[in-house]
Amino acid sequence: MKSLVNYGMSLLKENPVFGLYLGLCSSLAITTNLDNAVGMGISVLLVLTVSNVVISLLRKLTPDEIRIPVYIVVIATLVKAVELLIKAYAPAIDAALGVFIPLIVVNCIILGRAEAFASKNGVVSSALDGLNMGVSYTLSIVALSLIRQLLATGILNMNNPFNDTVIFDITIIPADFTIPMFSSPIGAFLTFALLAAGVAAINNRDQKKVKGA
Amino acid sequence: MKKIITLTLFLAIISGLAGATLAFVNNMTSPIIEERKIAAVKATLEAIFPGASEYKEIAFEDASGTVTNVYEAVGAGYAFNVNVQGYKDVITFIVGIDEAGEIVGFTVNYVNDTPGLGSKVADPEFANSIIGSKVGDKVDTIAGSTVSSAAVVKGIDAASAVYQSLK
Repeated sequence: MKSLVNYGMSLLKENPVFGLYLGLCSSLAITTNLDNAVGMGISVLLVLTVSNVVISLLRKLTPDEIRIPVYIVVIATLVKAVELLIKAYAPAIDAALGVFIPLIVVNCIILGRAEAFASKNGVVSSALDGLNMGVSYTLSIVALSLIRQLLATGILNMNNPFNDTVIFDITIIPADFTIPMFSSPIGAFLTFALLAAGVAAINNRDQKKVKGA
Repeated sequence: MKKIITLTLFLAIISGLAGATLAFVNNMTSPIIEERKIAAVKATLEAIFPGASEYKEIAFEDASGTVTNVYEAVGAGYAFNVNVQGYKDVITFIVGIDEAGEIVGFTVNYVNDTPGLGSKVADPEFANSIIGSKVGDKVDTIAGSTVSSAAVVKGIDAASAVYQSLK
């Protein structure tokens, strides 16, 4: 039950992207369209959950002095495995994300959760923590990419990465009224700043309520 | 002393397990990845030389070491699969040269350079600037992705050299 409550809270309060400002490099770089965001989100979700489980399993065996190298080896192995699987089964994602897939290794959400949570907690709660953080990361970059893709192209579409079929493709804003700037880095920063400000405003309001009571 | 041995052994065991895991995944995925690469080549050859009756791989000599495969589209021309070192990773592309020595096709199959900069070598604009030029013509590089595009231009020159040796 406590996990469930924590889950709802962490979506905003401990949101890795908008709350803690972790893993921003890939979040800003790849959120130009929905396909990229979903592909990246699911890859991170997988790596994060499995690395949390493995590190939690190893937590009693791992000597304290070399815990960071051990975490890095575990995370790097998982990322390489995910990279190979993506190359084999979802080449469209591989083509779109390129170097950002191997760069999941240095996504600080993963090492952060390994050090802050999985190394101190049991396997089940570590797995839940990984899922939870992965889902909020995915939701955050999907939100970023929705706004950016919509404003930049006026089209919302998604393709099945495994066989390149179109899942949906809707034109919402006519091409004359789109703002192409939003697909460039400045659009990423603007969208990110607005969403982060919104999340901060909600969090601050909640804190004031707590103080008032 | 005992401590350092324990630490070393632990890290060695973890790395060994990691290696074994990766070997397993690689074993599982490498045939599929290879298959996808070959399928991609065939589609590209058909796109460059649509009229050819037969496509076959032929033997060649390349002094620069960047041309990896040469395919003959019988009666139409030759296609060269070229691997060059880009900014971060290798760039793999196919350049098609017809019987008259004109570059008729250019397709980038693999580029892993910075998205938005080095990845521009895969854009249609760059391909259009190459297609139509003759063997030996100078191809312009792209501003902003000099390292990647210069590598591709060098690869095209190597393919042209092989083409002339085949003639």
